[in-house]
Amino acid sequence: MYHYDGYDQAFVAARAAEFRDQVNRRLAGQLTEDEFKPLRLKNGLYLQLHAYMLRIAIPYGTLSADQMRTLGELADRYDRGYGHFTTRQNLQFNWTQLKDVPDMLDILAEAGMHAIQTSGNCIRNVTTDAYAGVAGDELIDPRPTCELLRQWSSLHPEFAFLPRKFKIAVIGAAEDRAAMKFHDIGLTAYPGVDGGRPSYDVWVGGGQGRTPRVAQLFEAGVPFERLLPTLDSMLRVYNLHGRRDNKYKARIKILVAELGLEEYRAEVKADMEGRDLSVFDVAGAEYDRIAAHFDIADVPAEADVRLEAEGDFAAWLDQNVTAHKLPGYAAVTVSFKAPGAIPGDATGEDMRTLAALAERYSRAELRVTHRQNVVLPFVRKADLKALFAALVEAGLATANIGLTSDIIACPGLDYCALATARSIPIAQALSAQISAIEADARAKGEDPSGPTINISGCINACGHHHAANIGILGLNKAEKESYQITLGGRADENAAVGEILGPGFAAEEVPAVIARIIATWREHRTANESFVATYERVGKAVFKTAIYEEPLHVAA
Amino acid sequence: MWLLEHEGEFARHEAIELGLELSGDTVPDTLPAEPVVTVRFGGYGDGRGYSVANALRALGYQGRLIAAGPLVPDQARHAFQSGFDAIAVTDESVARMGEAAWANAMSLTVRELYTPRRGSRGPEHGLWAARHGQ
Repeated sequence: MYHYDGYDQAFVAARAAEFRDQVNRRLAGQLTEDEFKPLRLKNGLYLQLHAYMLRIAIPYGTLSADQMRTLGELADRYDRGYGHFTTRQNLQFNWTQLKDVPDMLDILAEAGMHAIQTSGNCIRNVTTDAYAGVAGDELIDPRPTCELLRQWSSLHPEFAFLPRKFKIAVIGAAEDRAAMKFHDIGLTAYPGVDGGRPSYDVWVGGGQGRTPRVAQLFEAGVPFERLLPTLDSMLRVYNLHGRRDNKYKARIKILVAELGLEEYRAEVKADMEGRDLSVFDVAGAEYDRIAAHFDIADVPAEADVRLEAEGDFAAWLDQNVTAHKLPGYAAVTVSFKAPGAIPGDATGEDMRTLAALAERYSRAELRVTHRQNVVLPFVRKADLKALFAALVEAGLATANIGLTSDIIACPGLDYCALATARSIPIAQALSAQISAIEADARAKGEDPSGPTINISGCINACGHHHAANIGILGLNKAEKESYQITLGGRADENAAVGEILGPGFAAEEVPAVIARIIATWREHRTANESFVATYERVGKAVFKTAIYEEPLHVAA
Repeated sequence: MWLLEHEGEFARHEAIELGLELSGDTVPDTLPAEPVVTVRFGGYGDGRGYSVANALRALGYQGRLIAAGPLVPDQARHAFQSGFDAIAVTDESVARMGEAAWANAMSLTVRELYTPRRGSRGPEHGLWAARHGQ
């Protein structure tokens, strides 16, 4: 993985020092809250319902064991002993105090971490496939591109006050495990013509929020040399022409929709034309330097092992262990979705355990997934049994990765100042109910898999509800929480936005509604058919009838 | 009115030559002939002025570019690195935000970038260039 050199180290230390000065000037009254707000947001600091929330960047979800341990220390020292992994592969501390944040940033900088551009109207933390570099179906590791983009976009002077936030995702495999098409710009990287630096398909205008859109193809086959110039001009056209009169229409997806893709493309080409692009010439050598950090040629080959397994270990192998590009290795996903748990919440102790396990079993490397779990990417198959035993002991062996109970949820009204309804209690209730059904299916030797469920506590869609097979959106209708259901969304390479099923439900009704949706799918499902395949085949009406025709009989 | 120069000088002036005044929301169709151009930012959070400066430099504007409008000291870096030579600061903003905050705007900020912008007046050399011996 990428390790900071002295230049990177000095850069994040300087940013931490700058932020300390900004906090001091705010506390001295030299900056108004209105002036301070964009400055603190650009450093990941939100004022939430109960406290300041600090969002720490985990660039493209990759971190070292030492960095994970540092996060655990921060959780214990400055939060209430836990943190929250987000759908953007970041980590949030929900109970920080403004006066402590500069010290936290110094500690992070020491560990080669930062909170740069984890919020605000700027280019955000670049995300990718949590299995990048190890997935068996990968064409090229997308992370050197991600790191190059992290460096290019960090403290970018021209694109620091954009109309709205700007999210970039990069993938390097045919299967999209990063919801790439739901980003402002999505890149698919693949080996370049002469096998050297990658070429890219560039997608634009995806996003969630109140106007969900699947990205459109901007240009295919962009060679490496033209990547940064293209992004530079794409961002400039957005900065100059994106709407600033209405924050809900300010994302690039609206600009592309209003201008039309052709016109947007023409504006970008016109901006690029005649520009002196020589400042980007050094990017190639820098890409090569970064790529060397991700080279896994030195990973010793291992004999492939056939594992005899039964019971809980077999279930865990089925669900939480992913095929690896190297023989003799596997990628292990640690679930933070135990029955009744808060999705993505991890204690400081959990983080230290993960750090120790990564050191022992995974080349001291970890990943955070956009589904709010943590991956140990380099586990020798021969170590799987020992690792499983250690996870059982730590209470981290929940075997449900990719199952319905692997629910995504934002913090919702329990923490977030933007939320209109609670997400966490809904996730907890559903996870308890669905985990029991999955365990039952497994005990009977049946397939426990089912639809994905994502929950957002407001229309901003941090919980990615639009992109779930079953999306749950918490709204506030007449002073009461009301949950709107969408069906048929998907975040993969066939990305689609879910369709609204009908009128919303009270919080108490949601588990019964979800049970009916899943029962309806099972009733109509042909052998091994996925939820979306059934949904696309039989249509919304079948589900609508099943949900709304008979009363739910749920005690309020 | 005060001026913060990209080389660091910060001083009050009785009168300032602002030259041609442009709105910070649009890149002009033709290159200005005036030796001084002032780009007026519409708001603190309105970053179009930075792209206007960058585009003017890319078009080949060689004159003096001044940024004006409701900016804060923390944005001085952004302005210089986007191609402005100076920032015009009102007496009111110096009084409220502190003369020191403006005078030290460039020493309190992150002075390096990974890759500098064409036309930048900022102090950055570029970390990529440094890494690769350029």
